[in-house]
Amino acid sequence: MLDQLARRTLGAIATLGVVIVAVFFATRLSGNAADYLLPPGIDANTKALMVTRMGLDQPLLLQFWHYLQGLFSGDMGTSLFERRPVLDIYAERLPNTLMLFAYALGLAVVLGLPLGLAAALNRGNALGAAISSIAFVGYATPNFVLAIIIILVFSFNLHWLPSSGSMSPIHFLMPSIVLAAPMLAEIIRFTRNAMLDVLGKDYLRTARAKGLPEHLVVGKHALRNAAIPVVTIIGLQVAGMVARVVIVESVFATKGIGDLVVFAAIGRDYPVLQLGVILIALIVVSSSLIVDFAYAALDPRVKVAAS
Amino acid sequence: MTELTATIAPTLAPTRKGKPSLFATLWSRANLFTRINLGAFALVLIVAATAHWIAPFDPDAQKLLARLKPPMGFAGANGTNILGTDQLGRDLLSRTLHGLQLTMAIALIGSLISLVLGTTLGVVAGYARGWFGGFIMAVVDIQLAIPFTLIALVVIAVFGNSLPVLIITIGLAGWEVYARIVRAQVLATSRMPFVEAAVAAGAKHDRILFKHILPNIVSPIIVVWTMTFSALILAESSLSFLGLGVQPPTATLGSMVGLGRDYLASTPWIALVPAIAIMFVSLQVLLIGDWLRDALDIRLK
Repeated sequence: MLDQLARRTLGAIATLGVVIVAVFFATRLSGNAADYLLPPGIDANTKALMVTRMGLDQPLLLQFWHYLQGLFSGDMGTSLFERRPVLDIYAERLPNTLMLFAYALGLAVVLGLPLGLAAALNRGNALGAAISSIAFVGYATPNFVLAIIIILVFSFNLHWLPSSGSMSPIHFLMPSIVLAAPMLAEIIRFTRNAMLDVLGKDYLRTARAKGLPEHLVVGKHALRNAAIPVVTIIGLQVAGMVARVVIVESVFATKGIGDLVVFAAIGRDYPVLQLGVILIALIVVSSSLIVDFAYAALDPRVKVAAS
Repeated sequence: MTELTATIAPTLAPTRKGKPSLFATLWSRANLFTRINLGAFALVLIVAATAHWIAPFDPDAQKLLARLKPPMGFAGANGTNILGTDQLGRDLLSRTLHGLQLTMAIALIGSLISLVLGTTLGVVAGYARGWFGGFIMAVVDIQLAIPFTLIALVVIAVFGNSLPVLIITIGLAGWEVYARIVRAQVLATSRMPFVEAAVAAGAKHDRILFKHILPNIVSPIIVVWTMTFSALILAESSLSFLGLGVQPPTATLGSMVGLGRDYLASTPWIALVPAIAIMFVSLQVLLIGDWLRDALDIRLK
């Protein structure tokens, strides 16, 4: 058990290590960043000066060494465009992304659990079928399509919500809904299936047979046992959410790290792209590690599966 | 569906002599909804394949006098552009058809790359095992741990955005799923008595692999193929939507939505027409994938 968790932790650290190495060498593969950054026809002296200032003329391995040193001392270089420390830019942007995560996760869990429960208890009737099909459509709709539809409805037709920006909490409502949608669908589906699984168990029949009121049978016996797979799926969804935040932020012009990373990729702003990729990988890897530990804590029978 | 059977038929043919084809068996068991869905998907594939002939206009031809025309049935529509025109007066129906073609082609080629790559590596990891197999599975674990969007962003930042880069990026998106499942299947099948019998009889590795193991893992591969196909369509659309896909004026459905979003307030159909097309196709593929998984009774771990 502990052995498994230790192995998972090691695996997570190794993954991060690979990301850190890969992202450095990948971003250096495309040739000299100076060719791309400086305007064509610039005179040779200015160009040489810029290259030296950016440290792009040093041998690759030396650049890598400086990069590692910087990584562990918190100096991640300067944005090639904004001319200010990358870390400052991320410090400014990260709260917006985390806020979006928190809203989306809250929305998906608060709506998903009761809806999944309702779908399980109403299996075979219209309500159950309706919830399940809405969940399926939510799962199949690409997030940018959903984004465009709700912008059209809530911003341009009803004029209720602002279509873009990140100035006030109200600006986070639509991006959170879009970010939450696939996760909501997954939570509904898993809660429903887990509940259906548990509802057929003998101990529920026993609970009913001894005269326990129905709300206790469902609330205490069924829901608790159904919670375990649901926790797993919530953890797994965090990875998907991180991937989607890139698109969602860019549609709604939310000033978060997703939007930043896309611009860095388009503009080849290496220092920004590097830290963004490392940061996102860190969020994903640590969240799946947290799920492993939570899973072990929730269910003492669990041997962390090797899947 | 036509495309799917065409791809798998050669692999299945030698092992299923005299029996009805796999597709015929599945079709006879499908319910009405699934049949309609399969038919509609076949139609989508035909329309995508023949876009050059059935599109009423050149998708890149600009008619500045007919800019921003709404689809037929809305006020201000002209009779010639059924789904309206965009900001440059290009016919949206023609652009959607061509975009659909490119989207499907990219997803198809990308999925074949990941299928071949992932299956090969999965077979190596499961059959040869050893340090190389361990190495492959370590790479699989790492790729599973990192969101694909990140990998795509780095690849596109490094190699620029062009059609070949996009296709290869999409091809890299799904191989790890094949590798993991194929390895598990190969490991399980290798322990079957008939494989052990073949080994005992002195069969060579290639015979064991191609004659005994691979035919038995075709079904899970088909299921993974359909289940990842919609993910690839969405991956392609998302990258193109962000402006990281093909270069204008060439368009895929995703890039059409991306360009159309600037006109959302005044002329929403420019983004909505391709958006609905993406949603429709991805829903279809998902439904087909779910149906195939149940019909072939495959449990994917």
